[in-house]
Amino acid sequence: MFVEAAPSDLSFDVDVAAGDAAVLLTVIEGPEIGQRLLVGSEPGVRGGDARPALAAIADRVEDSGILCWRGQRVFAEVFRPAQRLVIVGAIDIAEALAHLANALGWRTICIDPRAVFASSERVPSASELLVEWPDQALRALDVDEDTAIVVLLHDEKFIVPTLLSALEAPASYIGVLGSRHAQAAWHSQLIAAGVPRQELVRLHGPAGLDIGASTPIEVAVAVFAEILAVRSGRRGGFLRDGRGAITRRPLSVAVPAKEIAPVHRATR
Amino acid sequence: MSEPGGGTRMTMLHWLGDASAAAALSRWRAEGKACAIATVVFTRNSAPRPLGSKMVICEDGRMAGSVSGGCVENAVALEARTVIANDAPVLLHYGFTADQAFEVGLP
Repeated sequence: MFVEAAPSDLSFDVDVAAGDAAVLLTVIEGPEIGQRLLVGSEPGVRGGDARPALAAIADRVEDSGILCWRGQRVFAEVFRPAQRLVIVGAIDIAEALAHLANALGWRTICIDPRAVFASSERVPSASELLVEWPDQALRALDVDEDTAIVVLLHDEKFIVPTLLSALEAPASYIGVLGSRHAQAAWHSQLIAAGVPRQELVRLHGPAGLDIGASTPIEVAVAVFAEILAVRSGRRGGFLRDGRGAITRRPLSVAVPAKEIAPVHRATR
Repeated sequence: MSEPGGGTRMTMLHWLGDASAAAALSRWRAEGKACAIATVVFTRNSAPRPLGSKMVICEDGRMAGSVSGGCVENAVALEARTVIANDAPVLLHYGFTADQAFEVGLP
């Protein structure tokens, strides 16, 4: 636990581009304890009370953890812009998903070509509503690895073009609601449209973990649980049946735990 | 906070990772109070809060945010008041095994 006087707001003033991350380095043990540097997407050194020499290790940081620097310990924190959830189809499940997304700190973009559906009355929790053809809107959104896509729309006019468009980009998750029978039919159409068979494993359809969800909010919980499981490389299931770490392990460049000399302080 | 191009301006809110803690910090500062931040910088498996979790502590003892799910918050808050008084950061070490959690008093 590192305890410090609250820094000023101005110490956190850098831009982070989409798909990029900011890194905050803080010396937590050693003669320069409390010195810090924040590195954003813009070139050059930024941050209110910067310690420019720390920039040399910023490039080594991939995820939050402790680094050694000049015999001192540095805590590296990685900040990524909010993850995005793109929902295609402004039905009741869309609002449930957007509501959950807000609680999780995700941004939500809801697409529906029908203006009467894509309204802020129907999906009040969405950060953005787009009345556009889903395949075109998806291409315009610059979908990256920090984006999950959930397709709720089943209309034959939209579904195959939407899935083709979704598969073009490196989205971390593509979920497709619909029966097993319907999924098989869409897969056939995608293959006929030239999608390689091995690409189809990227489609999570029917979307969601197997929790017996039936109401819109239950379906949203099942789908979001699957999005998080995919992000963490987990399969879902009961924790009591597993043996590994419970929390997500950061892909850290941090020093292994045994190399960290504990600084013992009485807890009371 | 978010821009059309998908880019983001980093703010204190991003760092604290908790809207209610960020609101508490600006409220307490507006009252003219000194505040401290505690950050989880090292965890073992199954730690109650992930790396980077933060708690805001006001010099008068008020707290917002969480670093352990209730196990060590009081102990951290006491240390925080020393940090504010001395204006010098500290690195603390707490055990998070079930036994140690009871030692410091689960809520």
